[in-house]
Amino acid sequence: MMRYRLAVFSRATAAILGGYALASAAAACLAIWLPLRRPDAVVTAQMLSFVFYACGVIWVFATRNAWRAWAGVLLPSALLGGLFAIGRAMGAA
Amino acid sequence: MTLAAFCLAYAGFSALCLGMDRHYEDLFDRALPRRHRLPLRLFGWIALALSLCASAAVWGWSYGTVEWIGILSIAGLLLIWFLTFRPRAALTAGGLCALAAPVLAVL
Amino acid sequence: MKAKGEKAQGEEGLRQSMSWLHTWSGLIFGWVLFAMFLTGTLAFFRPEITSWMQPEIQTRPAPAAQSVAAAQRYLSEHASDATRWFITPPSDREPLIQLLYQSPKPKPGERGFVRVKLDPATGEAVTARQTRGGDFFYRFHFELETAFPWGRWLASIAGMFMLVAIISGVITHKKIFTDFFTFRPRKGGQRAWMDGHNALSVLGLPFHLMITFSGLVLFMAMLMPAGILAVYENPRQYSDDVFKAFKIAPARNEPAPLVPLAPLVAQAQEHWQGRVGRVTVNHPGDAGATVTLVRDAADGVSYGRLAPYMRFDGVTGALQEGEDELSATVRTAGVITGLHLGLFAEPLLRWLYFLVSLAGTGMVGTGLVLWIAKRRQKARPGAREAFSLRLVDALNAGTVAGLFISVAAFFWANRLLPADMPGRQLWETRAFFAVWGLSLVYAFLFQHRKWRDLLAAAAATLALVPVINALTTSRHLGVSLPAGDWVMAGFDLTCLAGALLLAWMARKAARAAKAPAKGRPAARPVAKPAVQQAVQSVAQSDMGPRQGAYEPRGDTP
Repeated sequence: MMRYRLAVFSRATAAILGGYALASAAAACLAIWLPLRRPDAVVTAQMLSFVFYACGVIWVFATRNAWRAWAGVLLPSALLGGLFAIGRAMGAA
Repeated sequence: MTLAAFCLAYAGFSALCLGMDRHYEDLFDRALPRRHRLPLRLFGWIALALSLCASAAVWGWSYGTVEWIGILSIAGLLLIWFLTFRPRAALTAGGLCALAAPVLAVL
Repeated sequence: MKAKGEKAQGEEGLRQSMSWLHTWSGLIFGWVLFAMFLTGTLAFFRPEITSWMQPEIQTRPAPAAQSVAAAQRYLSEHASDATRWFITPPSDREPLIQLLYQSPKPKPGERGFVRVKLDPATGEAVTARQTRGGDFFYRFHFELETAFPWGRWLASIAGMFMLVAIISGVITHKKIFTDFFTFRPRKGGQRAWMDGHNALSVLGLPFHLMITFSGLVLFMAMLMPAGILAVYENPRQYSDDVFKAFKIAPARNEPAPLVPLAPLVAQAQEHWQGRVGRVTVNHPGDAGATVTLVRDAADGVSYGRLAPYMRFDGVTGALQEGEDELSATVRTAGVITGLHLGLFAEPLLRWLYFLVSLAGTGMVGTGLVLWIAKRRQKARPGAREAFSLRLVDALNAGTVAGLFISVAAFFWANRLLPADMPGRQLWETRAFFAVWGLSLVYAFLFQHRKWRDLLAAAAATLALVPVINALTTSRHLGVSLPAGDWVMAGFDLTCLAGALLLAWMARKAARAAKAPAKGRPAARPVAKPAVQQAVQSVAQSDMGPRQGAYEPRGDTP
């Protein structure tokens, strides 16, 4: 029972917090990379970020186990975050 | 014309409903014949599309589409409601709507 | 329930996991979401509700230019030292001139915003009973009457849970096409509730999905700062870029007379071939004053929060900048948020919005009841009910039925409290929450009759609203119907229609509760709000293939 509760808690955390991280990373990455004027890029990025959030949550609960759940949100977050950092560095350079 | 749009939506859903085995059997106490299925479903979809056109004719395409979605929701819920308690009446009404629609469209 | 980690992969696994997700994401914020849906539904008629709640105001709208001139006269006299003036000219739905100004030296503890409504015929401030009117429902809908910014964060989180519930619901509903027209109330139990929940959810799916997603988009600047901070230094820069109409230039601190506003309004109306929604004057009386005119939200779907604007110099009246066509992206965001607000809707579409939104309210309500129905059906017949089940059931009845009583109480308070009583608007609000609280307490104490009693109370209190209106004002149905006063009459009639619906549901609940006395298993009663037109009913029925005695649980499914 405890194991089940832990698994649920883990997934819920992955969905809520990990999902938000994924959405934010996507928003930041899209805002910097979309080939639009700055306000348009931000508006688009923010609207799409909710789609990322929802997809992240669905993934977390659809996948086979809690490990895959976390991986499925953290890895893309890192990737998108990295792309954002690159974009930021390029812009500054 | 808006009334025509509503009638078309209701008629369309009625036809699609009749084109389903379960509801056809409920109404006519026999299985849905193959040769009725396609015409019923075709009519259903066409009626729904015409409903959109009717709505757009009054309100324009963008506003009309929003209105049409609202009309579909209400027409569908009404049909389900009637279908549950008076299935014959519900589907007869569908037929009447189909007949009334062109009349209302030109009025 | 099997541990999630051990679930088999494959389609069945996906449906099961989505079913689990749907159940929990729906339940956790279910009562908040029900309240948000109900108040949101009412908010579509925000100005009409406010009009009903101030019956002493009977006025006709006046043309915008004339109204703005009257507003300028009033504000020059009463708010000459204000930092900002906001003037909303009358419209068909809102016949008064609405003013808002920011006083520079607010009293301690106040924010310094003063709201005044002018009668367009006289240019004088209207005197009417103080009330929050429809604004109460509107604000509750997204702020939950909770301090800024916590209320809107909570509402947004609930909205995100709703989005997840919708998506998981669609994934898990495997017979979405075959069961499209299916509703089998006579089967009773959780099957009947499931059918009802499905019908309300699927038929309204475009609306539900749109309203939920667009609700999040409305708050996206607050919810997703990462997108802004990625490319801007601070949120102010972002809002200046996107909401150009609201940019404020600093004052120059030299006095200069404000240009007459009426000709500017006429100029904008001519240019747009449309209506002016709002006039904003920054630093009136200063050399650096600006006058910004924003186009009426009702003129276009996308104009809700992002409308075309024109900014004039406040001293010379020269056009400084303007935007007629916003960028495609901003227009898209405007359409999405505009669809949520529904300000662009004509009366017929507005009623469709209302009805489908009511269906959405029913969707949440049936979902909550279904949660109980499923668990009751699984429970062992003689077993004592778990506390958690009792709690959820009480919360269901206290919220789903109780909120209707609360709404009625709000209207009762409006009519019964003296018109000149100070702080009466606070008491109206308190009546709403007090009755909600009492309903919850009642529901928890009276396990076996809560649905029947609360629904009956809802029906009675709502039905009496037009009666109390007749007893306390002269603008009751006997007068409003012949006069064609559709705001007053529509309100009263809608109360009656709602009362009829609730009375019918109360009857169903009562009949179901009596069934055990006949020796049959307790029937499936109706106990939820439903669409005005499409009402789900549940007849007395067998419970299907269940054997053995079954302990009745009062009037809940």
